[in-house]
Amino acid sequence: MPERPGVGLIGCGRIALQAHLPAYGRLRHRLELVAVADVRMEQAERAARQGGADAWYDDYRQLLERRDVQFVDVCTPQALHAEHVVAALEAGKHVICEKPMAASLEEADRMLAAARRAGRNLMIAHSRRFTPRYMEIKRMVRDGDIGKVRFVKENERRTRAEEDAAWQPQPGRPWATLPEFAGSMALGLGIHECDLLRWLMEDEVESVYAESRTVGDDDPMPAYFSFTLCFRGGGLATSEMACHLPRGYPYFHAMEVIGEKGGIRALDSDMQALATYDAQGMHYPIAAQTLQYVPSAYEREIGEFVRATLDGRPMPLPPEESRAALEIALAAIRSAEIHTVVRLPLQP
Amino acid sequence: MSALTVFPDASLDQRLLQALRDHPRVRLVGRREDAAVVCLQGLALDAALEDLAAGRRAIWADAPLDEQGLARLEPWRERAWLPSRLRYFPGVTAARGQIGSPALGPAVSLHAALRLRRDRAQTLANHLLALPLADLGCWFAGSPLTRVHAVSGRLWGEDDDTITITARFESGMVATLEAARAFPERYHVPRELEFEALTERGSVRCSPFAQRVVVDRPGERQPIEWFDDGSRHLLDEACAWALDGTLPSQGWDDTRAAVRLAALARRSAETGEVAWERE
Repeated sequence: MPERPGVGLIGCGRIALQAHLPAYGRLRHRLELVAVADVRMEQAERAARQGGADAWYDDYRQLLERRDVQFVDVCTPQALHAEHVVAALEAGKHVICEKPMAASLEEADRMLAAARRAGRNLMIAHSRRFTPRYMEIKRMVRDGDIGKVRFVKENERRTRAEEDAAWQPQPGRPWATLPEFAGSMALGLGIHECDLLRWLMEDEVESVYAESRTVGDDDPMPAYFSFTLCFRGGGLATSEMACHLPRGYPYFHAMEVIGEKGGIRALDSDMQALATYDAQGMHYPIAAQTLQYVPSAYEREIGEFVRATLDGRPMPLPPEESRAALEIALAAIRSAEIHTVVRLPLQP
Repeated sequence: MSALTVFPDASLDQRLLQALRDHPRVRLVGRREDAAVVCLQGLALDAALEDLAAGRRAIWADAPLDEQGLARLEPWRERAWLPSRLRYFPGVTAARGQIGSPALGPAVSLHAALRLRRDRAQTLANHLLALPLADLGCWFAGSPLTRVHAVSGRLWGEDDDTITITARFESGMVATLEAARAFPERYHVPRELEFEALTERGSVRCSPFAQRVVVDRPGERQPIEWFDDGSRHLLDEACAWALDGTLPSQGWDDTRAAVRLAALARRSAETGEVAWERE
């Protein structure tokens, strides 16, 4: 392995441009972004120029053929994760892949099997686990500051996505708005909550109940999703997400963790560093920017993945845990479809 | 202007009692039999039935009734009024008034969380503790209930002390309601109740019980009510109902809808399955 390993990035949409490429910029003393790939050649070139890569391709297989690429970062839509991750592992690369792990458990299992066969590392990039706020909450839970956790809640509010950088399988229709590519907001957004709630409860989910709904007449994807998790040890967790709010609405996370000895509350609305008022309403210029992109989280997740690989240590976030989060999200989607409680493990 | 003669039952909390004392159309009387109206609270169903049978009216604030209790009151529905005081908090009333406005559009969801210390409402079953939230959900939805899922849990003590409810309405609105009443006395509860309604074009957030100033002096803490707690507005309607014959904004069917939601929540929590309104 060279002193400064090479990275190839597949998928040059919003998360790559806004989160991963800036992280590679800050990690350039340790990693070299060698090449990028996207089915849109002009988008690949844009990403390459932004990230300082010398090569860009519209076929990811060309990127995988490069011997100077030791690590591959998959930032494509989840419906394509299995194809790209398995190919990269089979090409001998270590792989970090954006969340959610995959679109189905079968695909996730193929990815896990491919990593075992290839003897290469695979980590799914759940950025919340590397975000200081959640890391501190986890530390308090792990250290027993609030006793055994009995209840966790994480609510999240988002504006409609600005998809100018997104891949559009159909003209004018970004992939995140198409159910065949995005699946459900429980996958794209709710996977954060599925992972966080399980991580903080330190227990496995027994059953899931969920409700979802569309907002407005022309949106085929639910923009509202809520679910309740019952854990084996009797703990409860809830989450409510919405991603239809108007542009300019401040991002809003509200977390509450209650243990047998105390509780933790982390509310964006109580933590705004600066608020301004004008005729259009209230604005949180600093806090909103921080919360949208959490730049240190992406840098940390990539850096720790690479460092663990180079040192031969276990992954900071084993992919089996990402599979567990995926199973919760898929159970929630099924529950919202059939309006009944869904029990884990999921039956095929 | 005629006065409403009211007997304040011993169950009343201090805020409602003070509002009765202060109300210009209310005259408090010391004997039950001298009153046209008896004001009650809590689990005073038998007392209410006695008053109604004796020809008096009853205002029953914050009534934590189950379906059986409501059925016993049904024959007296013209003379029993069971308002949820929460509806009369100025902030809550204003928030509800925004729902369906051109600026915000119809409600998509309502999330409400009630957090009480363990010395409050100790005798109430979980689903009854959530009754004010159930009423809030029905009121904001403004449409019939479809299905309910609920889970009871234990946060602190030996028994279940928490309930989380998900209710779906025919309008499509989803209400997620949480009531927990087992926080230790030392636990800082910054807001007893807060809620957020998401609409198609925005949201409304409210913390009705947090609208006060607390002055800390050495050895003394003085809470100052910034906005009143809704009791005065409730009593305005009570006087209009009892003296002028005006129908209150919250009627019997509203109370029944909230009690029904709470009953379905109890059934769901007991069975572990979804409880449907039309089963």
